[in-house]
Amino acid sequence: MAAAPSALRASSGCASRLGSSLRNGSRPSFFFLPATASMRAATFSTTAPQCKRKTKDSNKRRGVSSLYGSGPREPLSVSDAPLPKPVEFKPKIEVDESHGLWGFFPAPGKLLLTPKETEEHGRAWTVEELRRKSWEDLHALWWKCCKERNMLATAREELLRGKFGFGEREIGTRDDEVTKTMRAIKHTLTERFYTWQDAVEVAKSDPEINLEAGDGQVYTPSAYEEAYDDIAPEEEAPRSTDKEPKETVR
Amino acid sequence: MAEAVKAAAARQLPAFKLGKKQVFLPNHVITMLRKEHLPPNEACFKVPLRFTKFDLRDYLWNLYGVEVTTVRSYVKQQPLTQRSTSSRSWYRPQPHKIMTVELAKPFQWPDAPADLEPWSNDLWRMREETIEQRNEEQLARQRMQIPLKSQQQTLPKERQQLGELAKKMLSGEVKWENNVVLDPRWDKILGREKAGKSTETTTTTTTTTTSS
Repeated sequence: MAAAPSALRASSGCASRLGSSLRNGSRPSFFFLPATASMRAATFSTTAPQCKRKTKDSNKRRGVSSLYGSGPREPLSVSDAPLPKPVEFKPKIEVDESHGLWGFFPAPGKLLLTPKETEEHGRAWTVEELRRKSWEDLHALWWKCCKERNMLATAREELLRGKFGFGEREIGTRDDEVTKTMRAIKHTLTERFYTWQDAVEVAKSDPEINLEAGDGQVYTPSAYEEAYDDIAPEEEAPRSTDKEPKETVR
Repeated sequence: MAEAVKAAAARQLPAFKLGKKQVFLPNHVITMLRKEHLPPNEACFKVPLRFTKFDLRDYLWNLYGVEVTTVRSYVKQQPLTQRSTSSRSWYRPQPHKIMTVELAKPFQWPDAPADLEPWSNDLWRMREETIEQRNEEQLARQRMQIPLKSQQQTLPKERQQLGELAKKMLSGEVKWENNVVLDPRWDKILGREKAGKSTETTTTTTTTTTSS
């Protein structure tokens, strides 16, 4: 009894309270039980502090994890109530035909081409054909090829993912043809660059061309060709329509 | 040229700041991936490894006119792969870079085709099954688990017929006959065998009767 009551166990604390009430001298009457006497009758108590789980470090949540879903240690009042389940509902969204991501597909709303449709393509552009094209044309064609390759890659991925069947070879052949076009474009541009380099070399030794001219007047003819003016409209017509200055150098 | 400049000016600029470095002839292949779990305002792409988030954002805007608000990315490692089935050389293929973007305008993937006849789906599936079966057999053989011919589930037709015939013969339903006319000198031996057999059978029957 010398120890502090807080250090005692719950049950012994209960007994000590019982003993103290006896020692106080108030005689217990069995007919009119006062409020303190009910404590005496109840040797077992279910109050919360006594039912508390004793753990090593008095951690209430020892062993309860949200990571591996252990659930609470004791069943709760709502444990028997069935949980509501989310509804299987995915909203279907209307996509207009102008959406940019349709560029990854053969046509708006169409997932992929059939092998027969994939095979229906022409040959690649040749270097001979591309030589007479302007830089704008070549650039536009290059981007067109990029889009086509992206579309084919998406179709191949979807074909393999969905296990639709044959068609990988056709996609590969078409992709090769597009790649050939892209290679031809680079070939053409490289040729143009080399031609321009050669032209600059030639111009350096040309007395009629002054590359260091600050006013942009590079061509300084030594003599004015009078006869040239008369035939100029016929001869210069094709030249003026030609957009590509590098081609005229060649 | 002037028209292109005008069109670019007329086009509404995106909410983000576009990159300034000009790339004239890019050689990238961007694959759009179908991900069932993604909401409609997100899209997934497989991009080259050297791509950055800004690259994809500007690429989608410049080439497809698609405005993107956020880009998330991760690099997916590929499993170890054998160079060829015969060699013992293994290597790790280049990983894939996957980027998920949040779109300003939502996009819904088109449905898969219902009729797979143009892709010869039946024939393709048969071929795939055959390849799978052969691979499994090969693996079992490497593990020295060679199944007996009789334990095979699918015996050839001739073997099945032979087995049925043998069962019938054993049960006495079919009498064995090879339609060979024997020399009369065999009669004596065969007759003796027959007699012996008959005696044997009689003895067995007698034993069974005595035992019972």
